[in-house]
Amino acid sequence: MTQGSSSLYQSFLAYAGRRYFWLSLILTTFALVIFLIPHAVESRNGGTWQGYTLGTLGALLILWLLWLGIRKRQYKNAVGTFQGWVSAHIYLGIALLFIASFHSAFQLGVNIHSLAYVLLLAVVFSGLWGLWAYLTLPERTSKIRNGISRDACLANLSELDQNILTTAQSCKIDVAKTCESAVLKTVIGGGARDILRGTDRSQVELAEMDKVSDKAPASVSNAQQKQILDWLAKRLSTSLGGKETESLQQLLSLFALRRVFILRVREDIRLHAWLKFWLYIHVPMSLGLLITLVAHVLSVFLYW
Amino acid sequence: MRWLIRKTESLSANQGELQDSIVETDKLRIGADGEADLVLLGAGMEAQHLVLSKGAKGSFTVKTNSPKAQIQTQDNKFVKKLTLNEGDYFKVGSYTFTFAKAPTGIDYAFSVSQLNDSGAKARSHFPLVAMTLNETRFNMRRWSWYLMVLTLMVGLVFPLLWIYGPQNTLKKIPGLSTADQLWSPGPLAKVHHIQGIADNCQVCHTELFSPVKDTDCESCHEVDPHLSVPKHGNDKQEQTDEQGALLDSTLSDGAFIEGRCASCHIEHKDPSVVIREDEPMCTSCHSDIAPESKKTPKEGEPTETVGGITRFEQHPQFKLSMVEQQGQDWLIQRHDFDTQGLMEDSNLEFSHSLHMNPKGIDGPKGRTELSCTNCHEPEQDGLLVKPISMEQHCSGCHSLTFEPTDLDRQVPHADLTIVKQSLEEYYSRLYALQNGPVRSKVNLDRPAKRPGKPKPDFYSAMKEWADDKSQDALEELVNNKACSTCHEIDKSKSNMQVKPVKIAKSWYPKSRFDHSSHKAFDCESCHKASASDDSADILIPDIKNCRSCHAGASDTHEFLSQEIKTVSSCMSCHQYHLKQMDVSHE
Repeated sequence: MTQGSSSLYQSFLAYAGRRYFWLSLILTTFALVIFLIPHAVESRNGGTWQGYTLGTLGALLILWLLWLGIRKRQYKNAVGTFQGWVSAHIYLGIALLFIASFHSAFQLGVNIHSLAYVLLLAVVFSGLWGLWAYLTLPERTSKIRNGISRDACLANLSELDQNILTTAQSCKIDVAKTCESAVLKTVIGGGARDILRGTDRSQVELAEMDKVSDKAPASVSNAQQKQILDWLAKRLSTSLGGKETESLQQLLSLFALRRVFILRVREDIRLHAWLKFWLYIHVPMSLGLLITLVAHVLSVFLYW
Repeated sequence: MRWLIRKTESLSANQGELQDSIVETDKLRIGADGEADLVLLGAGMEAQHLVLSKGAKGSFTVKTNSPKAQIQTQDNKFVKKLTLNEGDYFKVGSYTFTFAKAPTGIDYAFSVSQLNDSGAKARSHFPLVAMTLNETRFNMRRWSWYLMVLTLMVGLVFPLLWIYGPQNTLKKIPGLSTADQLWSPGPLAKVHHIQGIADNCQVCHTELFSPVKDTDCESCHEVDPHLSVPKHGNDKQEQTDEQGALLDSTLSDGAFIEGRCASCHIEHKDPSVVIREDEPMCTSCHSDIAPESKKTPKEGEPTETVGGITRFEQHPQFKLSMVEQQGQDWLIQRHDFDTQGLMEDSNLEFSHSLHMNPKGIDGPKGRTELSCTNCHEPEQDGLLVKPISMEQHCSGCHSLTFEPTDLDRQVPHADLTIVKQSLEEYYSRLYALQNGPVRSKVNLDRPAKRPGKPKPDFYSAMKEWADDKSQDALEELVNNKACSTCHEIDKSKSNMQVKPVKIAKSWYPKSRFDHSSHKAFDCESCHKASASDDSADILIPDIKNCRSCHAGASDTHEFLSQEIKTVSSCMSCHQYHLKQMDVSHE
């Protein structure tokens, strides 16, 4: 049930002996033939009988493709398997690109009709991007996870953090405070841009070594846990040995391990976001397209 | 039975997501075994732990499937079998199963959550922010709504508000008055880029959901409609047979050629060509031209047509419009140019070769070289030539003198009756001047008085003399001197008559030929006049002559033939809107 392997997605494309590939190929060929028939009076455009034919076909396809959004929420499996629907959705969506282009006869302007076409392009290409994402990213995600789920990673991280905090408590105040701030000011996730870029906005408050100060130290970036690791290494070099050195060594190794988990979770989040990102273009644009399509068709007949 | 299983966040591979799956089975098996319908690992979960099946009245039963397996109830009791209803839950090991209302198409639905791991997020030592895009402000639903509202406003609401709303008030809102221009599918033709038209859709689109009407065009344009021809769209109903089927097969695009101005003057298209001159403009309807001779088929016979004319190369030979006498009437008859022995019968005697002698022709001022334009003057900017007039073009050389002693006097270039009248008047006056109360010294041809006869009175004598003189002069004029040089004379009746000269004003009235755009060529290159010594010769060029320079738009294969020809479509010669005419005039 976990959709992890790419073979499952491959099967979208190979579903039922590529039945929908052939269907879309037939539709595209049909559209090309209609497009190539010259109109008796007009040059090629959306308003000829060829244009109306292709436009009707395209509009019906758009409605059917949008229906996938409803179909995926219908558990009552009325017609076909969901996998079949996805397969048809992909192939017919690609066919729509050609049908709509032939319908427009490649005429673009600043108007509602061209807006519909541009939105359609955005929808189809984001869909293709999604197809690519689903074919490649899950594999990369599994490699990064290496058999450990994100939750398990987070749970491990949580345990590590507990260890760090406990160990740090046994050290001097500068170490305790710095380590605590490094843990508490860790950031995983964030805004959409941070997630997609894998930006690390973690911070740390580096205390002055071996000094007790009331003044809170400034917060500095602790991206990739670099600052805290450097600080601990430096702190270790000034340590006089004994239990403190042991604790510092332990902290250093704990933070190094912590870094690995954080990097892994962040990359996991990043890849997962990219796996879904196309949908954030595909879905809103397709709904915008639906409204624009209505305006496109209505306006043509309002101002016939 | 269809089971909907929802794994909650803690179990889902991806944080922050629910994962649904549907399993179709009568007995749903749950356990650590890979064969189970729902595989769950962990302490307290046996290989074949549970079987879920249908219970009575919408409830269902949970049974353990192995000796060690146990079910923990809501009251924390351990049992082997349990009946559950909607909203109930039970636990196995770290898993909690909660039964929910099944959605349409599903018989049973439950969720599974794992207690132990679900705390990973909660136990985190640092605050966890959004980890999926949907948790951020980049929320799919939100952006979908934004985009839908935006496109709805821009694409429909604003334009419709402008169309239906109080425009006087609304025009104060910037941009709203042009909101409906976003609907324009293409640029307007340059000629319509006029303030008040280009910025107001409703000037032409007066009625919504209705194609632009001719009356909308006629509010600015004065139109001579071409559509009196019954074959055109508006009269389609009359063109059906008894079964109601369309008889006219040339109306292949009937549904779209509605006989409206806008059917041909297509606006908002790119490229914008509001006045079309392409071949399909005409040939889409007129590719089947009926030959003149076949226009009225016998009853029961179909009209024969010259089919498949789509370009100039396929155009049939021209037809000459010639004026011909039939009984008392002069009628315009059209003849195929290639008709054997086709001659013009205009009753004119004229030799072009004589007049165009390069050495000149004798005239009152000696030998004179004549050029074509001495007689043929262009008219209507070169579309036609002015009619030849005797007074303007011939009389310089061809005088109508009749009295050798009085070379200043000429008869009018008119009907012989008038000519004779003029002669009688002249000679009567001459007689009167000589024999009247004031006599001249010399009595020229005064008739001799015969003995025994009564003396004629003055007026009778004058008439007798003048009649004789007139008749002589007339016969001299007609037969030897002037008229017969150019005219044919009808001597069959008692009174001689000059046959009327009838020349077609336009030889090709269904087309228009612009002489001014052919100024670079000699007249002779098309009209072989210098070789013609008979006015019956046809000096009008035929289609072969035109084709030596012109070719249809789709026939100019310049690269293949290396022959460069002028691209010409139907509209190069034919016109559409001709006043008082149908397709074109006779």
